[in-house]
Amino acid sequence: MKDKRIRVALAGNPNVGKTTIFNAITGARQHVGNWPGVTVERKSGRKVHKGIAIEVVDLPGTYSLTAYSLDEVIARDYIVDERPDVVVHIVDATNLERNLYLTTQLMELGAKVVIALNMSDLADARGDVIDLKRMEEFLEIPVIKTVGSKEFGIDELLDEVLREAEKGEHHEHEIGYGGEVEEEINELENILGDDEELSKRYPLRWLSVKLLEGDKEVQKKLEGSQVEDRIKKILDKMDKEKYETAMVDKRYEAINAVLPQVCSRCVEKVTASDLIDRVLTNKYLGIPIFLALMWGAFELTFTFATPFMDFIDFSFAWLAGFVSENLEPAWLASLIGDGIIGGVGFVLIFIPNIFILFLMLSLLEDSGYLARAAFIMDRLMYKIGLHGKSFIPMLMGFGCNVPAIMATRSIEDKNDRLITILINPFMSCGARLPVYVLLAGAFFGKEAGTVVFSMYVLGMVVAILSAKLFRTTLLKGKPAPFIMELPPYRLPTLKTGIIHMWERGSMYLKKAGTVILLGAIIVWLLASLPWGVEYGAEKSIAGMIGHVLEPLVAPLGFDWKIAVALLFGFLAKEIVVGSMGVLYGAGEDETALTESLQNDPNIYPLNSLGLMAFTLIYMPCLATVGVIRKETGSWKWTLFAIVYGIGLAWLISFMIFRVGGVLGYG
Amino acid sequence: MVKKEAGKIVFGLIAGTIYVVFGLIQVVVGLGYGSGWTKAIFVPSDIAGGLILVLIGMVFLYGVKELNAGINEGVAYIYVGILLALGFTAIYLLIMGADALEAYAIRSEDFEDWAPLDDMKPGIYLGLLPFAALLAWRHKFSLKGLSRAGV
Amino acid sequence: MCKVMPLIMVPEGKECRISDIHGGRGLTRHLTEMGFTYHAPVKVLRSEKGSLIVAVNGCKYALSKGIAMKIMVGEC
Repeated sequence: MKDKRIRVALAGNPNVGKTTIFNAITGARQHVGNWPGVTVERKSGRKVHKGIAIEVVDLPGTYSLTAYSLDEVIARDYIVDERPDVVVHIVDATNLERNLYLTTQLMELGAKVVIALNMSDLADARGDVIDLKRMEEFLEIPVIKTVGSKEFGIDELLDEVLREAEKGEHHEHEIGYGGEVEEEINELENILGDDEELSKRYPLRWLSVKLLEGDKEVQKKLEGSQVEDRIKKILDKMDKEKYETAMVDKRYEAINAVLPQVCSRCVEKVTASDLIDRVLTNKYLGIPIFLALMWGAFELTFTFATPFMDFIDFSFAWLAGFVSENLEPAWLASLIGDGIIGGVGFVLIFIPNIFILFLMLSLLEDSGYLARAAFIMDRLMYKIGLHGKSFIPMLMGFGCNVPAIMATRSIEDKNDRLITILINPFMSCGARLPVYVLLAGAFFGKEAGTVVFSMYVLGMVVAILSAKLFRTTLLKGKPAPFIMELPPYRLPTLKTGIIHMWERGSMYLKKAGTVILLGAIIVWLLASLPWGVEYGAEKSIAGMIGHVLEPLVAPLGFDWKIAVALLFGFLAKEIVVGSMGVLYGAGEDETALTESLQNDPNIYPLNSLGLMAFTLIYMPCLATVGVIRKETGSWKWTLFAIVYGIGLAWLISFMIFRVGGVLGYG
Repeated sequence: MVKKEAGKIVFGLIAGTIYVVFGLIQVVVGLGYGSGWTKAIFVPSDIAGGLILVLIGMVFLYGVKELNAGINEGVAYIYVGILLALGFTAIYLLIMGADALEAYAIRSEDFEDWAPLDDMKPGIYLGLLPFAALLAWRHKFSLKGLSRAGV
Repeated sequence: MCKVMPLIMVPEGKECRISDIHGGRGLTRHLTEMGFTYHAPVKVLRSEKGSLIVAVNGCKYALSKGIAMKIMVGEC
């Protein structure tokens, strides 16, 4: 055992401070990946405690281990199939009853469980008295008090984990379901016992209980087994609906028998959270307060980021200048100066922007406010055929659509989720901002701010109308009823806020380092080949491609240069600006690009407005397409998102160009 | 109990009225009717900012209305109003800090003539009022208060 | 003792006990697991044209009309 790693899984309800415990245990040694086959985030980390290596896996937060949502299936499969040495169940000390429900399920799974009684400071402050000794006796599970946010009790928890892992066999915990149910369980157990393969892999009692509850995922596990038919026959005879809730009730009964002996005064009174909710979900003030907070968040995002953006801008301009003056041969200087620094540099300028926005959203989320925002917006969302839960991903879309689309997985209903995914790319992400800033700055002077803002509004309008359209045509029906926990308000800490911000924002950085870098090099190559042509001239390959595409976009008032820029924008929308820099022969320097744009007769206010709208709406960037494919699991819908986006972008740009032309703005 | 909340009612009434009045002035200035005296009290031309001030004032006044009606939970509006007001003061101060960086560290051309008072606005100096209240009632705002029962 | 009615009809601020959930299989179990058990007291904190905030079992939940219609309560 000594040389072996111990594998520990963290399980628990949502909002019990699982992540803070995880951070407290593993510190910086974390790895974020995906669960096999799905894009639900899988976080794991390492820790050496008392000379023994521990690998910790953070399971998704769930209320139980049935198969209600993807999260539950993942958590359960990990415990059943991977058999971690110890499962640490993180329990919210202020809400034992519901939390212990999961404990009963973990016990039935035959896992070795250690309970971390988290947020015990809050329970103490509230005047609850929890008798740990009795709790351990009744549950036959070790219980450790922790306060994740203060990193209190973590060492004791790990001590207990090691002790538990060293233990040999542990005895099975059982919950008696009484009379008739027990008979059925026994019968099923006996039959299942005939399949040796199954008996080796799963606790038979657990399998039987789940089969009685009508669990589809467990039924799948039986497929191909010799006992499948016999089990089916028994199950078909029964009224499963009756068992389903009866068994849940039994588990609660077991908990409620224990609870009064373990905890005294564990009842909630009016809390500060209730008081705050009184204001923030107020009938009249709720929506204005929400709008004000959003306005504040955006104002801070755009103004506070400016000096940092300028700083990055200056650094890259200096670097580009340094490279082109000092590097030999000339083509290498051009590749690095014009291509890479020009292309990637411009994108990196917007990092402060995106990170600050994500930091704000993280702080709002950690404080518990975003869940209220979902409630406040529910009524409005219902009108466009969605519900409150779709709102948070849409908000996140303003930062980057990739984490935003991943966030839709909290939506249970398939159609609701699909619509939320499909409209998300219309929320104007941070990557499109450079395009607006450049064009609006070049052509709209003092009105630039208004024009940029109107692009964000246009994106929202397109998203809303599209949702409505999908609801009335392709995915008919009403939004599924939703239920969502409102966690108590907590003071968000800068540390967890920054960790969250980094998790989401780093996707943008990765993109800059990979897709955009590659895109920048390709653009540079196409603009420089064949050898000897003037960089970015009409005779280059880029120019030739542009001329082939030009007829397609000519009705929108775009020339070949814009066609090329838009083509490369498929990789990432920021590249639109980078490639314009290349094609207009300005490189990285923003002012030079602005000037050459203003001097080019083929681009002027009206079609630049159309170009902004086109960039906003046309197909999602490569990374977003990838995540849509993964999350919908369907090429059909991915293709639909692309075609719909391009078609709509063309239509809207066309309308802007034509209507504007008629009105005399040409 | 009634005596104890009297302080909150008076504070809510004063702070609420002042925020609403300054907010309305800022909206009017934003609509283009600014003049010498509005400049003297640092009211910028910013409609959205003005509406936010009005909203903060309304939160205070709503609290006063409930407390007056004998609903003790109305103090929640006073507390949240204080936090909201200070939140926006913090945002404006951060923006001022960012502009200072721009002017003194980056030495950007657009900020050549910038002076700290350019960013002064009611949203900042009115914040002194709720800040004083925060200090006076600070034990109510401790982390424990977030979880502890009762008012 | 008052009659059984859907949760959505309970006025703000009132507390009732859950008597039944007509949820279909998955939903009923999910709700029960979240703490909406038989006879559990449920308090309506906000009720706004279909969207509710309720407190059950020490936790607060936001729920939509669709669910609030399926949860039956009595004994206000």
